[in-house]
Amino acid sequence: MAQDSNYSRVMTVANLREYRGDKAHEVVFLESAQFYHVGKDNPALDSIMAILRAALAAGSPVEVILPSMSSNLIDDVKPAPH
Amino acid sequence: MRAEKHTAILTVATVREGREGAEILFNERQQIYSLAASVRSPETVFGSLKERVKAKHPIKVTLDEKKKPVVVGIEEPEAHEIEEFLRNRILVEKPAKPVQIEASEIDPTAFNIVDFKLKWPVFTLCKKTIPSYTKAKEIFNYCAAQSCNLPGPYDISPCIPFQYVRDGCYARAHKMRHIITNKYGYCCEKVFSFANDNSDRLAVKADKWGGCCVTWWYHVAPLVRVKVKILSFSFELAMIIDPGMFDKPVLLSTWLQAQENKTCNPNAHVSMYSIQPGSAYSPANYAGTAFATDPSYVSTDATLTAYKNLTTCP
Repeated sequence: MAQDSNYSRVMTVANLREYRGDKAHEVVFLESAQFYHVGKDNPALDSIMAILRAALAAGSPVEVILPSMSSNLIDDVKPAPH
Repeated sequence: MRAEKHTAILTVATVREGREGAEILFNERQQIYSLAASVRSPETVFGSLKERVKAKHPIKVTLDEKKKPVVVGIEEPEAHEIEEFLRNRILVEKPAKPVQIEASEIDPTAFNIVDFKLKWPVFTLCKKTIPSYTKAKEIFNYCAAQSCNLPGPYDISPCIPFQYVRDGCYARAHKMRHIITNKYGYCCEKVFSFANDNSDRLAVKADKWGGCCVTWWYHVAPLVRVKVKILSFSFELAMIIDPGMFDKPVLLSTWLQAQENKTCNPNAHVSMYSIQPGSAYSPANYAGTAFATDPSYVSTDATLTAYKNLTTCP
């Protein structure tokens, strides 16, 4: 499969590591071994983190939007469609 | 009570000719379903269903169970439906608890010896261990030869994307487990390493793929037990088959220590590790105390296919 643009993947939040300052927040999901990053310059930062925190607490999946399949930089997050 | 017609995401166990026409058996259902005449081109669908059996790929079906169970519609599931299907997997029963470890302080002369310092319940479940390092190397070489970055032809399908180590270790390990147990007939467990404490992360230098650094919160690989005989004294060593990281089988201690590359990341540290049955596919929680399975290799093959053309280092 080619490295597509606007790739999305439904995953379950395993843990959040939130940092102060410029360091990007880190997210780990059960379905992937990578660390994923939410940049502090992301315009949707607050809403993304709110969705991730809620999903972690509930154990519910989220749809993670990435710039490509091989990227670990999160563009956006939505509650997973039912 | 089920509605008259409803949809479901199922995997096809088999397709066969019954006395009254095509019959479809699903892995997730006990009933035997017939194929409605209204389904377009039943011969084509029948052929496509057989391909789905081979590929172990889930399909979305509309079922009518009002009278006799009948498949009245077949379509391709959407990505989120496949993800949800795969998420509802069976977990490993009574997994071993993870053990905290300081990988830098491992004594390699003792740690890797099975049933001496390395005692895990799963080792009692299978006795057909690899008879020599030579055989372990043969198995390693066979697995490595299935790498998607090689031109092929491959002996297996899909190929294994060892060249992309940023993610997918769970699928690569599971495919290798299938090779070790089915093609070679030897025991194969899974070793999981975790960086799930504080700011820990596993960090490796991907020397085989360009030398860039890769970080994970967990890693998994097939673990095999290899017999060693010196004169009349014999024992077994725990060795890891991981062509994404190495060029040969390595001791478990070597595999763990390679994931604490502090030049890649100062927080490189293996928080804990565990040895699970080969059926363990991926963690089902952050603590590493539950594991999902993939008995039909559906998720495995989907992941291997998705990553087959990706590369690790820019």
